[in-house]
Amino acid sequence: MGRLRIFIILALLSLAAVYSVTRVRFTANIYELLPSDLPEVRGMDLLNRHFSRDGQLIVTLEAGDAFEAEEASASLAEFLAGREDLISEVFHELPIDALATEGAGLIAWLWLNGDPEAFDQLTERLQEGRSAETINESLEAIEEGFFDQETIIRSYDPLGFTRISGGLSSMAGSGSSADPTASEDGAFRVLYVEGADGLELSDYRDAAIWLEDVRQAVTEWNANRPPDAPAVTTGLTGPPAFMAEIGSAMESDMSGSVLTTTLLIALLFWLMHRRLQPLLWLVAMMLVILCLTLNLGGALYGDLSIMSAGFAAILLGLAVDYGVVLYREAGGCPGDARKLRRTVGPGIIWAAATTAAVFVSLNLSSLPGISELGTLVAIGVLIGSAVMLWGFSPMAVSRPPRLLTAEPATPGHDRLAVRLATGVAVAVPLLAAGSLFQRGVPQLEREFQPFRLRSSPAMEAWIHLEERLQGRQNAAPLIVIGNSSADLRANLERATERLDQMAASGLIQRFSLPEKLVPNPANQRVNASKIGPLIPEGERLLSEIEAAGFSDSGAKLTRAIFADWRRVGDRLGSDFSENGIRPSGKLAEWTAGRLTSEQEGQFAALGSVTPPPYAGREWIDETSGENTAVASLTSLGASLNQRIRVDLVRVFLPMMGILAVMLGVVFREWRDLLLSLFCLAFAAAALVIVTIWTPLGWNSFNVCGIPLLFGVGLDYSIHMIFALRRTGGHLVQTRESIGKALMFCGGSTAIGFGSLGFASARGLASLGQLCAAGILINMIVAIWLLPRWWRWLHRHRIDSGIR
Amino acid sequence: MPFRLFLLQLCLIPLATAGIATASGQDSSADLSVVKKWLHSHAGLRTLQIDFDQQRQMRTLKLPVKKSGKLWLDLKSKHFRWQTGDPPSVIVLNDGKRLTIVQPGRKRVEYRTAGMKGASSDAPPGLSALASGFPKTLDEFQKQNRILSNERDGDIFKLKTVPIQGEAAKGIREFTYRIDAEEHYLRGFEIVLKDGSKVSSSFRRIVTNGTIPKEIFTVDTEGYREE
Repeated sequence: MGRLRIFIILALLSLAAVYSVTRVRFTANIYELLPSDLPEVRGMDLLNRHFSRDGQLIVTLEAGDAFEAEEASASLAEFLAGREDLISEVFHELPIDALATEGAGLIAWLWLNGDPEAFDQLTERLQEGRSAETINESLEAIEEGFFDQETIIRSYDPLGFTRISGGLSSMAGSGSSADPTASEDGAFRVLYVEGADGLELSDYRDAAIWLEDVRQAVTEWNANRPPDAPAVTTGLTGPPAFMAEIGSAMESDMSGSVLTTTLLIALLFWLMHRRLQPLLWLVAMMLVILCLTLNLGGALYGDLSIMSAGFAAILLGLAVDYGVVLYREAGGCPGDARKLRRTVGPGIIWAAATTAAVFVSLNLSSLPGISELGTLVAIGVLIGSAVMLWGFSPMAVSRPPRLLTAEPATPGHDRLAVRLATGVAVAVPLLAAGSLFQRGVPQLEREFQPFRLRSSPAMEAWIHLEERLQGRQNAAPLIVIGNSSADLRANLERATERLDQMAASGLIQRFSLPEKLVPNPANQRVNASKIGPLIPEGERLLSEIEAAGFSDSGAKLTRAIFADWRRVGDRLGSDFSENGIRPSGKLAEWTAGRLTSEQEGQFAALGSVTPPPYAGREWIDETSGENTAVASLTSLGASLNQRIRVDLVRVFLPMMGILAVMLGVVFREWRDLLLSLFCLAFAAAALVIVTIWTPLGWNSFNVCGIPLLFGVGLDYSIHMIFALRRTGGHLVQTRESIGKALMFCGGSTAIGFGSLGFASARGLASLGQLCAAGILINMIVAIWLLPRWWRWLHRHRIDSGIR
Repeated sequence: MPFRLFLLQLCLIPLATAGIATASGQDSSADLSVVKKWLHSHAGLRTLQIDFDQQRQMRTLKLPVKKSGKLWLDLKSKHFRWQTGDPPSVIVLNDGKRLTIVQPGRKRVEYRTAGMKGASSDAPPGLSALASGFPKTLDEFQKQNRILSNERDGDIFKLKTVPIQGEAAKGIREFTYRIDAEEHYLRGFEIVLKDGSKVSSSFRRIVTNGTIPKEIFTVDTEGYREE
């Protein structure tokens, strides 16, 4: 085949690979990658499903002091609200007079939804004669009282509509976030930005474009501020920012790691074989494998997750090995691809099946993310073996490698090497034991979040927001669900009872639940019947307010409440469904929507719970129930660690037992069995040293790489021990054949994993780093140490010349 | 305080941001020597007694509200008494731990926690600051306030500021101190809130470091209804 044709085929396959990568749909929902039965994960899933809207972006702003922050945030809100092509609404601090009208919808609804007895008291307060007294009391309080916040509020509410009995004060008093739009010192402000009407942001690519547009708008606003305007720091966070960041990171991780792996593997092949056409064809086959697996994986899973983004690099690192094995054996079957397949095929198929089985075993892990990764690699490895056997073997036999003739070893040099290998065999385990003694057994990183991006401006802005907003520190979202609004209310009552007990016993510090914001159709029906007769009284009450000396601003709230009640009256009979009516008006809908939700027949309420400092997980277990979940990110790390420890025992110990039995059957020789197991222990000791003395540590995600490393280690030791048996322990001969093959295989696999070391997701990056280190250790042990140890163990047979 | 809770918890919006202060930067050109002298005079202040006249111009009321009142302040014990009307219609006592709000005419009494979060907004603007120790240096003052201007108007200086810290920063648009140009003492102040409402206070009589009988800081509330 001419080089030009190969280049053309390669170019076409590259295009197909690029097309396949860009066609892949990634899901930015990281909660699907965590064990769904963990209370924290269930909480996060519910939080995401009910209270995370694709189109709601949070813009944060920080200035030197409250004055500067207020001025800047008001200016930014005005600027953003003017960008109607991008933004439909901006919610932030409102002036009190605007609040009097916009907040009225919620107050009117709260009376409609509240306790009918409290409504009776209100009705009594509004009766002719009594109402004038109420207004005069307010006037007196305004004239005589402090000139404080409460006095001002009362001046906008002479009839006391805002004095809603029970509920609100208890909600606020239980300590949830006080003000989601400003920090206590006022220097930090939050703007809630809603995407323009009709904007579709369910796809992360659309979200990324919109986010960039908003970012540019914020930059433009900042650039157009007066030169002497104080400096402010802005941040973008919230669902669209997370979605855009995660999706883009996945795309970049996959394309970056695939490109890096392909290039490095090609370089390695070139350094070892220096043949261009086989190299190009090998790369072409790798692209074929990638395309087929990506499309099959897409069909199997639909959207791929952030963890799956790493599978392609691992797959390429593994699949190329089959091509190299074929290529190295092609010298024995020049021009006869069928013969080559007959000779090497069974070994490759078994090796692929074994590797696939090891990766499939990752499905036993509780982490769906790592299971998905394992399944995709397993599928790819099987595809890879077939593609290499039938696609690469014709090229391999037409351009076989130039193999070197083995030189005999120098006896003196070999004795020195054996002594060195024996010394290392003792020194490394001792060093590992010493390291463990001095630094203790390495622990899983306590608060590790595998799917958090290593660099995430949106997450940084979110964490800063949590730190700055009053009441958010250490508080975790608490979600209560129900099948109907009645069911939800009942569940909220039960949750309140339980949480009260927990607070009394000190298990939690405080909690809040928005029970008063859940529609109560029974109350609504009763109160609606009382609102009807009240509506005609509205004009009289407004006249009394005016007569008492209140201005139009002072009557604004009362007027707005009666207007809202009139609208409720108009809806009587049509909207009083089983689940009641929800508040109307932009501010009311936005406020209620932040704390209550209805999605696909499930009703949810969002509260918060604050554990004591340094609490363990007991409060999570006590709080969580069938209808209650806590979305605590801080305890997720510990919870995952606990689960992974169980996983390791459940997956790893049986796997080790089966492997030991299999090794016994394979070797039928106790020395080789012990040697193989010693190699594993030695590699583990070396890895322990690395993880103790370097920044590379253990976490709930990369610890899942241990079974992979053991599988690879056993694989290498089996290949090497059989080669040593075949050559009677001839070191040079073994090194030239299997040694070089293992060097390439180990190198390419380490490259595949190593390229993930730069992945955006912290879990994937740490898995890549740990596996790359482990594979290199296994490779060095198998190629340089194992042969010497084997010769020492079999020295009597070698000395007597028995093979 | 349901509406406040409502505002904070539900509408999630504090007092107001209707208006933005007219000046955006600190006035570095203002002559602050008078201000420094005024602030420095607090160094030796132990007690303060003030008779004042106050006028409120609420955005929600058609007519302004005028009243007179008295203030007794003991900086050492952090006690103060503030009252309006004669006989007093409202008395506010602060014993350093709690605020007691008494309405003798209605025989009502209300207690609030003092010194904790929110307490500063329970007290009239400026009073809580006085009670907790007013700044004695310009640096201290500027940590809490942005100086917008300081202009002479007859025999007084009008020191126009904006609070930049605490509860006051959330509700006040402008706080103007009226400082005597010769004697460097505070003769009154004017506050503009963010909803446009205004309150101005003029001090008719000021006695510094006089003896304040302990009984001033107590009120017999027996038979009063607690709110």
